Amino acid sequence: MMKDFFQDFFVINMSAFFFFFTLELIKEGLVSNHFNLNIILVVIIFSGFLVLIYNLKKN
Amino acid sequence: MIVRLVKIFLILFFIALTVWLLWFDFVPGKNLVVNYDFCTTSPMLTEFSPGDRLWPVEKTQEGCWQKMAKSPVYFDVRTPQVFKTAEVEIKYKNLGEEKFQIGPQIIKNEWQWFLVDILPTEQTGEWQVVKINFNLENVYQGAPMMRWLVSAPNLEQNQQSIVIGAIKIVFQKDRLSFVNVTEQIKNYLRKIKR
Repeated sequence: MMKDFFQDFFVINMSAFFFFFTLELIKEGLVSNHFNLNIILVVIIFSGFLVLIYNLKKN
Repeated sequence: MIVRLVKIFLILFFIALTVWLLWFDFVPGKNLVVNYDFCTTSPMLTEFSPGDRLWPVEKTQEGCWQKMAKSPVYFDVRTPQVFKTAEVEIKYKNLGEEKFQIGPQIIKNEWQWFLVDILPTEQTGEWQVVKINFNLENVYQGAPMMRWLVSAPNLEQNQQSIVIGAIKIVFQKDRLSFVNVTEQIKNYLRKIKR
């Protein structure tokens, strides 16, 4: 159950990051003037690490 | 159940963040205030350039500032909307009383500037603070960045320097209303990078 949760958490954050990244490419400053995208990147790395751990545990 | 709630919360959070970012970027109110005090960088205003015309930023307990050794220097401001006027407040030291001007670029990639003299005003301590109003109706605003120039043409020749302590720009436009909603959406979309 926790493995599925962290996988979904990882995918949702990753999708949000790419969505905001695309918005920033389309209109410079839309995201970066008010929000630091690196915050989501940190969450992605953390949740990705947890997904790996749960996958390794299962094996 | 809790796992599902967390996922729903996360999705709603990102949707709310998107709406919040769009709302702020659209600037529905009358003003957009951009501050640069040299102590912290601002995402809306770039550092002064080119670097070889400026001394490094000095950071002390009394504040931060940058010395201009040659002229002109530039900075870019990210303006998410089209604005009618701008009020520039600049804190500076001009000990040599050099001719000193500031203004936005009128036509993109052309050497045409709307320069206004920064005239000595009443002194607050060591610093002088001056406010200048610009009418931006004839200034090119189709790009996401607006370039500004700070000029002191005789600075190098007279071997003087000008110290800049802070810049605050208040951009002004009409508040969003039913009358101007289409115009403001068009202006906003014009700012999309081409």
